[in-house]
Amino acid sequence: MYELTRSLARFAWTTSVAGAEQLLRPGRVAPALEAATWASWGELEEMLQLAYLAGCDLQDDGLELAADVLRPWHWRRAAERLARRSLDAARFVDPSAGGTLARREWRNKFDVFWRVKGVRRDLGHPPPPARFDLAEYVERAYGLGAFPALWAIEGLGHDYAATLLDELDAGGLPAGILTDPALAGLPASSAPMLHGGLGLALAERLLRPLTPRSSAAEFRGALRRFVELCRAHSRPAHLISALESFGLEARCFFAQLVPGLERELEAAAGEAGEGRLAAIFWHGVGRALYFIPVQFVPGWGTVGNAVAMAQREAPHELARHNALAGLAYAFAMVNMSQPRILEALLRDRGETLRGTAWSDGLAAAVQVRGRITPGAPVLAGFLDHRPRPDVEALWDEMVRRPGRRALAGALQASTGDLLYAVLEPAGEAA
Amino acid sequence: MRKVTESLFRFGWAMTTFGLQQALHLAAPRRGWDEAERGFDAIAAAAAKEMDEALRTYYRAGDRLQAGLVDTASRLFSSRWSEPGELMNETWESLDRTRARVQEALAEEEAGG
Repeated sequence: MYELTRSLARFAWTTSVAGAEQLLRPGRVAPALEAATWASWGELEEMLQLAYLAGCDLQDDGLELAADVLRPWHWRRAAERLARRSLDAARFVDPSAGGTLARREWRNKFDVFWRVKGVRRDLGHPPPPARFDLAEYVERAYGLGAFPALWAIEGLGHDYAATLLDELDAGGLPAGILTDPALAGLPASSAPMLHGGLGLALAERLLRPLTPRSSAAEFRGALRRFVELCRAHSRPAHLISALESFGLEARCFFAQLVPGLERELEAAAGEAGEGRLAAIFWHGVGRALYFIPVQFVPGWGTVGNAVAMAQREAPHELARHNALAGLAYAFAMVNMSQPRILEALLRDRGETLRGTAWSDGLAAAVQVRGRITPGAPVLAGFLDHRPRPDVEALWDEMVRRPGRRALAGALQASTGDLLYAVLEPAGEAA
Repeated sequence: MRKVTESLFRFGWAMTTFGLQQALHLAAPRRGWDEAERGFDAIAAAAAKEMDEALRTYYRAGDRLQAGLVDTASRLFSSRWSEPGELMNETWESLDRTRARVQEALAEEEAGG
């Protein structure tokens, strides 16, 4: 009781002094206040962390709207934004078919997120530090069905890698995490998602010690180390699947670190000898924008808002292109079995997305799906979908043709790297 | 200005979520209290580390003053006193120790400056 009282008193005093420091520095962010915010976030349990992150994005959005309202020359933009928000919220509660699709898309996204995060609940593998037989649990994951298995395997890859990374810290590993010869018998189709999970575990470990006030050298060091660890523990054919998770993890759970990481991407890419790092990172960020906690706020978390965030947060063209492709990739992977959801999006925003990287992302999803669930009827159903006549031309241009070309590429591809060939800004799918 | 506003909003929201978690911890004595204590200390330490040197001195002095007052209050409530004089003596001694610790903190600043 005595110790607790002292801690509480110290905490109250610290926040008061940090607040006073902010008052003494008008126009500049007080480091102590920022540190207290960051440390508070680190202390939260998982659910509250998610609530905190969602709240931050909502607050940022509200502030942006308020800033527009205060500047008359931005009133039109503010009005459009408000109208869009109202429309999205209304659509979510609309009892007609449009509302059903919006709610279904929300549920699909929710299911996938928890399939990855809550994989232990579904498969029952032991928590760290106990090692588990990856092959056995991958087999169990396939027992969940082809589509849920994809996400369960990504979560499994994360949990397996996290356990082994503890062992690595404690004294080394006899073999690379996913290059261990004992794992040679794993199904080839599980490899991309397992590597995605490995990347998530590595990113989580390297991002946690950073703060928004970390030095440039610390940001660069984390990026370089991430590439090194990915190389050491990934199969070469699936290296990009692991690398892409850095942007995903960073934007999903460490959003305040993204600007610091972005500033060092180029230098880190040079040091690590990985010239594609910036494109891969921003593709991961785009994928994250579909799964960030605020996207689960009913009526707010729409793909339209995610597109706006991708355009707003990406600081240059390469980042914008890849973030949009990553977002489209995530959206298509999650909703591929229900093409009407994409059809509704194209009806609503097709003209805005036309000619952008959106098609690249869709094509990448088709290509990856062709590799990891070969022969699944979902692909044919998606590409052959017949939308309403008003969307038919857009569907053909933005989905069917690039998807078919990508699928043909995937079937000919012999290495995982080719799966992401469509990430190139001037890719064939564009 | 925008960054400062964002930072203040984030701080407010972080304190709200953190406060909620601490309330849940405090509702569970023993382990929950240890967790709550650790959480308060972690945030205080992280913020104190980022304060500039001048502010940190006053922060330390205030912290020692507060710790001394908590200490004094704790002694008052946790002991059995046989006579009022003994109680007064102990209180004064405790407050004097607190004063000395605060002076030490300020002297450290002067020596450093």
